[in-house]
Amino acid sequence: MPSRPFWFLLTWGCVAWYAVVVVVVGWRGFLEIRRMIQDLEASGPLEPDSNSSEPTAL
Amino acid sequence: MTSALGLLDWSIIAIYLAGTMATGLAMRRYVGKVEHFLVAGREMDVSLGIASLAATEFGIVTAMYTAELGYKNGFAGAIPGILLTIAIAAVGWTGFVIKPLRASGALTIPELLERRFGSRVRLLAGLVMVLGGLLNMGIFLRVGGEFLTIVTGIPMRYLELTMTGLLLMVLVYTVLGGMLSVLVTDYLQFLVLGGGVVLVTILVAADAGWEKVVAVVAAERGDGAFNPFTSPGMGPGYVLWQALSMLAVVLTWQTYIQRVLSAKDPQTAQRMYTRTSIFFVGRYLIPAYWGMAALAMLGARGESLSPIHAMPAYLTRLLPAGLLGLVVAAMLAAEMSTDSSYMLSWGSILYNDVIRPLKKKRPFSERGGLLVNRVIILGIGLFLLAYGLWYEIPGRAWDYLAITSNIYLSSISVLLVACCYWEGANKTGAIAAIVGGAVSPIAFLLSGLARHVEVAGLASFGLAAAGMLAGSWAGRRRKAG
Repeated sequence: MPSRPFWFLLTWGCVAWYAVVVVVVGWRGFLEIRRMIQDLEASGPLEPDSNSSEPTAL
Repeated sequence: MTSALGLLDWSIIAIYLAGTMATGLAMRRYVGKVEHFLVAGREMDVSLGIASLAATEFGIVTAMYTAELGYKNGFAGAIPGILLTIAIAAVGWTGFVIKPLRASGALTIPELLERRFGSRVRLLAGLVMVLGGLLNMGIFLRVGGEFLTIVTGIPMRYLELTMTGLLLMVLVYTVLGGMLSVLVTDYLQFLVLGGGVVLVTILVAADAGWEKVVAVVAAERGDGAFNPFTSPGMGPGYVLWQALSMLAVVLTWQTYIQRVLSAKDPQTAQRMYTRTSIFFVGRYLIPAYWGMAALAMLGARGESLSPIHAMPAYLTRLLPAGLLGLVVAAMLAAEMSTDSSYMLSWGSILYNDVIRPLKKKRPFSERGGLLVNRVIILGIGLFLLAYGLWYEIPGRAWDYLAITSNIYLSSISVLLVACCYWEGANKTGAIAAIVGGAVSPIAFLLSGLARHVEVAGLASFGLAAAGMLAGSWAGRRRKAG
């Protein structure tokens, strides 16, 4: 076991997490962007003036 | 000194920049309303949220200050990241504050606070958030420019030019596409950045190894290299302050909250938090390891460098042609995603909570609102350029960032918790908390002190909480009387 095993495992665990997440989020994020653009296109052109946000739940 | 970059490196950087700019600009046509510009029409799903939050919260400035923490404090320098991970995982798991915040439908935190505490609190909260946020990001461009000049070998006299070029690229797509452009470019930047971080860490490990790094930091920094309670410039008070600050960051830091508010629903926001949590340990620990490797490998040469410059100097020595271009592209990705998101975040508060409430009688049209938002972001860009050129950081870069963020983190987190969970809170308490929370960080910054930053930080949280309790009590008494 390398010296300072806690820090060793934490450091390389993070590197492994980054490597995996880049691939997973890369694929899922692509699909989500495509869906987001489809939704935005479906929502149509510029809407009339409105400064209010959604109603409060509080 | 000549440029360390070859034709292949410059080609990689040019392709990356052209791709980012084209993607960012392509999103412009979907921006029809202020809500699209500020919160991407609330269309963001979990993976895009993870990519965007991770890319935003990892800039060149992050790599620089965390590497500096590693260089100075060894592994103990990663303690803010560990605390942040615990905080974001706990908040994501429980939905504490972020669930009612997202469910409220507010565009910003001050907008929610107005519903409970009135318009004056909204304005005051907006002002301290913008003040703390802009002072905080004031050093981003300079530190980013310093990294790029050191790594690429561009002479330091071109630092200002490098900063300006970087800023202009970010401004173009942020001003035109707002949060929609930021989300999509963040996604691309996350891929480049994530790949670059893994690659650099493997190269650093191959060069410096593990045992040598551990031995050198143990010899140079002693037990404090592994224990934040005994590390130089840290200690129990520092760790407590960091724990409070990290919880407050998760609850109120505008770049986090803007993504909570952009999420499709409260559950998406919670999942984004829990699934991003591990990222935050790595965000501190991985560059800290690079900083420790710089300490181990540069030896006497490293001692002549400022601690914050040791890591980029080491990477220049380590990386061969071709890979250097990839790493510079990854760091440019990191910087651009951070700068764009931060400008948009503080700009959204300035518009939504300071300027727009002043125009209640004659509100902006959607087109007018978009124009004002774009002008605000341009203004923030100019401020960054001027402040970055002028300001010299007195101590550790992380301490500067943490204490400037405390100008509002302490008070707004207290206000948010009270707003969501304490019926006894009122306007007087809210105002007292905002003023109390801002006093000690501002006094610390104005005094130019570089020591005992944790005292100012803890005082900020103490005064904010005391202000809320005492002010609410006084407010109730006045009302009853």
